[in-house]
Amino acid sequence: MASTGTSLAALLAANGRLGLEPFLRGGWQAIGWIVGETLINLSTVVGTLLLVGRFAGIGLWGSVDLYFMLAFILIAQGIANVFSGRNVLMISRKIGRGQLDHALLQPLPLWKALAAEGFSPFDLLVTLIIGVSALTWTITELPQSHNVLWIGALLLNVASASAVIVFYQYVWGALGFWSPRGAEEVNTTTASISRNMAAYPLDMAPRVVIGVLVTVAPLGFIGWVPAGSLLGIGSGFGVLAAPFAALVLGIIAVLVFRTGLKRYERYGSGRYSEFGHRR
Amino acid sequence: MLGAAVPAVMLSLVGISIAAALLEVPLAPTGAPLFFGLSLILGITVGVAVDFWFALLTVRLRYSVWFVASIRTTLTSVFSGALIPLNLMPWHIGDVLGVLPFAAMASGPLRVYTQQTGAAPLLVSQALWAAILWFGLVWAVRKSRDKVVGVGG
Repeated sequence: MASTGTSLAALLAANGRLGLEPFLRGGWQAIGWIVGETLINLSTVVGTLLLVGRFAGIGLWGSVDLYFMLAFILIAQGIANVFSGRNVLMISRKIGRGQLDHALLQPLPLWKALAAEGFSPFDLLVTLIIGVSALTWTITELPQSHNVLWIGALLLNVASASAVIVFYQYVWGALGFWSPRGAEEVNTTTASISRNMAAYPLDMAPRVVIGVLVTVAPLGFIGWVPAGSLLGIGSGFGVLAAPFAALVLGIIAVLVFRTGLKRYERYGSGRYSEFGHRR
Repeated sequence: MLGAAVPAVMLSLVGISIAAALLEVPLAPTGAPLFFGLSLILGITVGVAVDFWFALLTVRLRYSVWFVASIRTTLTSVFSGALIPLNLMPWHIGDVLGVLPFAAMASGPLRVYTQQTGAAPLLVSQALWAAILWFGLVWAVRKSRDKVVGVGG
């Protein structure tokens, strides 16, 4: 059993090795996993990718600008996947099915247990590799030159976009403390829309739509706002907008989660009947 | 299965109708309604067969149900033309996807609904895919019966 003093690095390494399991199965299992993961993750951007291929741009965005945004989103989602695998991103499932107990039973702070459990550097790495390759290519194709400050802003914004993906899931997923079944449905939908709706430039969208997509459902901060700010296109939010949004969303997520956790400590998961059947 | 799908379809229809009214997109069919009805039924027939093929893949390759379901959703939404109509796709991708069975699920009915002519070859193509997929499925399920029993529910 891991002691409370177990370093996060050691826990990450142990969980990282578990991520090799799909590959160690070999044969069709390994090939299927790689192909399947690639398809699932590329589907995030495929709609926009096809539109770019057909129309060579959307509104203010040229084709290279859009490829940059799509690569940016793939990296952000890749990072979120690598650090939040095994249902750690879909936290409502852990809460609603009583699986949070597995983390609470460990002699570790909850954040450490979840961070270690979610670390999947090998099995969920494909998106990240594709994203980094595509981003490197698009940066060389962009007309403007880039200094160290710009690269720093890029890294900060990618990290922020990943954080927005995770925190958005946690804000809605934490509702599982109150409504286990309902939150699971909602969390599936929030995951789906943050995957499928973040990859579109919103400049031409009505103000109401933009308003919703930078507040209630802050998908704009996953791709459109940070990529546009880095390229100097459109939104006018600035390169610190996504980090600020991630910070605010993070505070909200922590507050909601902590409030829910207090309730969980008192009542546990209400989803199981007395003889263990899941409602 | 049908009972669970009806509310979702009705809600989608309401959403699409409201969006179409707001964006002033005409929803009235250009093609013959009878042909569209037939095409829709064939599209659903092909779609159910594709679902069963993916279910069989779960059993044959021992992948998790949710993993295969995600792949199925991804492939069918893109390859069927439900996400982006096939004739809007670049690099002749639509031409290639047009001859695959996935096109019979969404692109086929859509084209019958929106085109004044050319329904007959589309309907024939859909019927052929439905026959091929279902006959193939019956054979594949027979071959996999022991694995289905072994893997269980």
